Amino acid sequence: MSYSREITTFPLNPVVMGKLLQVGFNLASSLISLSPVNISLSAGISVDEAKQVLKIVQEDVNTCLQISGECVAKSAFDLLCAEQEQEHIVTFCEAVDSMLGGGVPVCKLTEICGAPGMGKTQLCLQLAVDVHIPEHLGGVEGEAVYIDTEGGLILDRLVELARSAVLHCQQVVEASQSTLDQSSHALTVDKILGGIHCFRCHDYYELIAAVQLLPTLLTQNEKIKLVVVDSLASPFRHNMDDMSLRRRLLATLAQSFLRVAANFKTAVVLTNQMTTKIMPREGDSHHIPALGDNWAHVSHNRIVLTRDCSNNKRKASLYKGPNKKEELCFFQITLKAVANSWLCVSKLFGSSSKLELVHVIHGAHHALV
Amino acid sequence: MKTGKATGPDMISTEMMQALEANMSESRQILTLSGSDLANLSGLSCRDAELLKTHIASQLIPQGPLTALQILKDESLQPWKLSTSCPVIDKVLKGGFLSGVISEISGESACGKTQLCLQLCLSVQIDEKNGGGAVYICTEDVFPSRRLQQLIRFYNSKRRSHKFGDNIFIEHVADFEGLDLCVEKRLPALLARGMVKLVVIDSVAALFRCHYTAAQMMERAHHLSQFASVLHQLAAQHRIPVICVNQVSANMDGPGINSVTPALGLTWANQVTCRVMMSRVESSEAVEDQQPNHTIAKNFPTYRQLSVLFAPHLAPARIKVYIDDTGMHGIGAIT
Repeated sequence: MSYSREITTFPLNPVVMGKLLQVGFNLASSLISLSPVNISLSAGISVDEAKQVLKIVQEDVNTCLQISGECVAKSAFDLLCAEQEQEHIVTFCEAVDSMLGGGVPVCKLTEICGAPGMGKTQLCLQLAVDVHIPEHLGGVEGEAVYIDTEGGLILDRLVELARSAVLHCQQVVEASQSTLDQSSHALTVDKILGGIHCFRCHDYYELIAAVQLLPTLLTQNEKIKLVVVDSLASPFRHNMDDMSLRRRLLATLAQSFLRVAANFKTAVVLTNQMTTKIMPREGDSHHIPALGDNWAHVSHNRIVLTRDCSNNKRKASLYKGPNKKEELCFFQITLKAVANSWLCVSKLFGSSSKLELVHVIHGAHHALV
Repeated sequence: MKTGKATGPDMISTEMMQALEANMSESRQILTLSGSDLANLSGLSCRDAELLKTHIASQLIPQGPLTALQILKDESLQPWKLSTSCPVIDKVLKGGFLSGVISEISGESACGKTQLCLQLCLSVQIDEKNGGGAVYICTEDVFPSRRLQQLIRFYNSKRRSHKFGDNIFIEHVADFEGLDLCVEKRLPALLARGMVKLVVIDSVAALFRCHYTAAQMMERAHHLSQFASVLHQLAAQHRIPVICVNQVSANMDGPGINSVTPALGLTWANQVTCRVMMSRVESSEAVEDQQPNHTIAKNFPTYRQLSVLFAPHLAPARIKVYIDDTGMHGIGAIT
């Protein structure tokens, strides 16, 4: 990283600054490598003054390094311990959870790809609700930031999912007859909705602005454990002709997301659209995640949602994941009508890949039972 | 938002802002630079560059994040729903078509797409709170004025002394020049006046399907996404529903011989938030109307069907519908 702050912008004694400028020290970078004695000789200032100057410059360099995330080394053992303690946000769908090794991991980027209508937004909404599940029920008891670029955040659906999650938590507590029921009463629909912080972004400027504001927001609110961007693809695929700009912006955004995930211990969930790739030789075409090859390197986990042609079931497959092998599972987005009302409660549930929905987890995740 | 007017944080001198202004026409473009690029360009320290970016970001999103609860309590932040004037169809759509996004009605010919659109043009005028006039862009056929008059006679009883016909703006477009002119120039001007609360395009498929050959699919995709992005902008900016009619194409991989999918492929599907499909079903069973007020001929050999294919807030569902003098009506769910 190049460091090029001008000397004039530092809070220095004007006499000292004048002398430094006279002998051609315009940029702070030219000072860092020199010793105080060298500076004092060439600029004609005292050694103490030179030390003072270096101290101020060095402080600024350090803060810059901190911002850019180049921080101290950690031992592999520390990292292993940290990884084992890593929390997961459950999806309420056992098959999808086990595919991801227990849910969507915090400190990681998870990308959900799929054609329209495959359930990307549903999975995101579900996660935004599930992040609130109290700790004693196996959740992470956090809050969520939801960056909506497509207008898919429909409150009706969010309220439905929140109601069903609250109901479910109550049932679990009642079934286990635990003494902790007071704290679970605290989980209400209002609490869930109050803990989902929404940005509605209409173009990529607003998306970048929202991402730029994330560190401040996450510092102020330490409960936030999940950042959802639904979808990352649409602002970069609508009317975006400059491909080099797109690549640059996506790379910058990727850095910001990685920093947010690592520094604030949050899960970052991004959705991506699908695009058609035409094989040059065979003239054949198939669907691949959009945003190109450069982007494909960024996310830690990549899930592709598709629909099985033969039996019309929804399919989720782990396309890329550092901890798990490639896997495939079926899931459903279900509707369960509550008596005497038109409200539909729905949950994601699923079965293991081979058994094809033989055992239906009745809206429950194993961690909750 | 010009940089000159946007005052930066205190530590940024006017010279620096001028230096940035020389490179950037808008202050929001500063956001597209990475922190170190901005530092190099402006001579700020990395830290100050980050502060500058955060400052501009907070200017771009002045209200900051809103919690879902705040949005729920304030109706003006939520999309409103355009009723179809039929309680059964509204129930399936949970209130109607969403504002602020693109909804699609697809289907083979003569399955009632245009009928539903005409009905929406009238029912948007009944909604006194959010409603208003409608724009109807025809690309396929001549606008069915006679049918509209027939429907207006019925709707007059719902809102008396309202001239329904005066609030529907009809535009015939036969080529891309006309379509682009209409959508990019004339439509924003009309919407800016605030009278129009619904845009119907009947249909998007007609032009995009016939003007491009198979070798020009890349161009078509590009043009489609550009077109959709304008519609998205208008829908979000004016908080109106945009309804696009689409044709269907035969589905080769799907089950059944007669299965069809909406036309225009994945590019267009990615732009659509809610997708509704209509179809005709040959059937010998009698259609039973659950609403005794309506008189319809029993034993229709065919009936029409409306299905929700996807929407963020709706479950996939299918209902039978029929069309009579007074418009389209739902009958009941198909299980």
